[in-house]
Amino acid sequence: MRVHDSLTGAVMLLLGIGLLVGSSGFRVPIGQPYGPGLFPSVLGVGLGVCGIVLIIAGRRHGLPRRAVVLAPWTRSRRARRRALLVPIGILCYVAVAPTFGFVLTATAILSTLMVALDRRLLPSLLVALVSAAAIQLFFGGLLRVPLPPGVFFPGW
Amino acid sequence: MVGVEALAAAFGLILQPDVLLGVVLAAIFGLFVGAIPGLTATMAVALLVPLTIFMEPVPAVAVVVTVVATAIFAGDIPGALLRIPGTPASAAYTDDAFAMAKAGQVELALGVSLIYSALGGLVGAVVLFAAAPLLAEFALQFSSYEYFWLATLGLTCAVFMSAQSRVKSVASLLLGLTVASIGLDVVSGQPRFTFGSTELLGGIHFIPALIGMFAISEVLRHMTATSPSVRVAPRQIGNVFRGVAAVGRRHWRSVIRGNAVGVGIGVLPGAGGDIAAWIAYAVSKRCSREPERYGKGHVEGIVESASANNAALASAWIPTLVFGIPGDSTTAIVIGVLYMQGLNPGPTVFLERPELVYAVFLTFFLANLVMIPLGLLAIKSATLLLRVPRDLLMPIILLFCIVGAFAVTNSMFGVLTMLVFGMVGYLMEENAFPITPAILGMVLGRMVEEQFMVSMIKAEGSAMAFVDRPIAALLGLLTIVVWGWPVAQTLRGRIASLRAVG
Repeated sequence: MRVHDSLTGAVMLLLGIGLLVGSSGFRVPIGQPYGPGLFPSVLGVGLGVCGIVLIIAGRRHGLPRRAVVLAPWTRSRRARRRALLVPIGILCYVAVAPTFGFVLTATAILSTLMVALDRRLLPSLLVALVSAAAIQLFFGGLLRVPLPPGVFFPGW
Repeated sequence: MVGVEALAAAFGLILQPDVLLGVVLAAIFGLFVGAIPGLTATMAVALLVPLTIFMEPVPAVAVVVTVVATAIFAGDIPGALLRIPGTPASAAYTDDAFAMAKAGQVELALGVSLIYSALGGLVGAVVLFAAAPLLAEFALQFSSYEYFWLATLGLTCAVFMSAQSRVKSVASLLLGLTVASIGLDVVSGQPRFTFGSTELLGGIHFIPALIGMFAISEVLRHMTATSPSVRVAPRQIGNVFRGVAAVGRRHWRSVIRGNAVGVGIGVLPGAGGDIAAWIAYAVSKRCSREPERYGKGHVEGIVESASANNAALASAWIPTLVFGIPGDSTTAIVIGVLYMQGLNPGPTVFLERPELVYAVFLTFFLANLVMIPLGLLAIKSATLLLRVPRDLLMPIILLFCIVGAFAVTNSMFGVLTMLVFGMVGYLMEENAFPITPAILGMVLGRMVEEQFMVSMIKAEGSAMAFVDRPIAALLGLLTIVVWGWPVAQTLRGRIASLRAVG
């Protein structure tokens, strides 16, 4: 997804202004000349300047027909579906893993992704299960990372 | 300043079974990741960093050093066999390596690249060993003004060394610095930009952000790639070392020049092995007696740039260890790792924990020596490595990212942070915003702000205090020259064109 420079610049300018407004609200500690708002406001000015430069640079290239140009892959439905599976998979993990546990959730997400990438179902399930179990053993067992145990098979 | 006891203690720290095992495993991991096109050395480090939290400082640094060195070399393997550089640092001489392989010289191309990569790494390590303690002694006299300018100069170099648009690099850097300012303010303890979220009070941890920007964005790119993956024909690879020494004898000038360029570029903050390889290739072509053969399977350019990219890796650690200013994106990650280990980089670490510093130096020798036998193994099994189905690998990498981001703070917030930064990183790359300045900004943000605030409060608003001390003045001048130069050139161009019109 390519966004026109002028639009990116405008977003950046707004962000810079937001930083300036936000940092004006911080209290300056008594007896000190500068408070915690100083550095963020310097950054805000910098971002604002970058934004303005980008707006001007974008205008010089001429106004485009569209502000946002989608990448060629977005025309393929399969590629769109695959791309969406990454954030959806991560969000599913966050939502579901505490209930179903690490190994079950991870196996389901991994095998779905592999099948979406044109791998056959059975080998995918197998590879997914083995890698999820290996990561559980390594991170959960060896390094003692408290991976979500889940309510069905605690410990798995 | 080199204490014999410190050196002996450093040897003791390195020659531990867990360190040695870690180095060997890290070398295998680095070779694997580097040899697979699309997986970069930075990504290898990003995937490894969550594990280093569970290690002691010396093994943590040792595995990072080994992974980077081996991944940078292994990037040459798919370059020669498929004409796809495994890591960006190999891109400069991929055409030559591939042409040599096509002409039946695949052994020579890979052998040269292995041996001169290892040699470059060793030369860089010697320079690091010699130069860093001397510089550290000098740096002990620095005050907050010098550190402020050094950090600014370092970030400046990071902006100006990137090949893409300069405004976009600055913007990327400022965004990174802004992200670093989220959370409780270090000076007054006020929450900043947390929008009432308790999760954000502690700030945004750089590791999940880094995993997102370097690994998740890569997974996304693989998922959206519409071109089918390449097939590799099995190929027997013979004696890799035949003729390597003869190449060195014939092109000894290239070996020296490549190492010198690599070390020189590596020391500059913000420029690492990728840039060193490109510059070394360009220098080599200009100095060569047969420049017309470059790009068509000439070994000279490979010798020079393969030396340079590995030499740059070690010398990038000079500003990292001495000033706490990273030399490239991987040393930026390392600085974060060192801070987490309670080992703040800077000149005082050379006084307080000299044995740790020397142990870090020694890991470079170790990593580059281990690379020769294991690298040979990787070359021999190259066709096998290149046939690993990436459609199975990428989902596993995604799972690894999720667990790594979770393990840093043991909270799902880390996983969500990783997702957000992964999407942002993907969009930034699509729109030609370089990512490294943002990572540098995130890692260095707190330090820059602290030195800035201390300096401002000490100076009581007087700008002169920033340039009162001679070294501070020199560093300030340098920073201004670097910033002013392109502006002056643009202005001169404008005036010249106006004159031409008028």
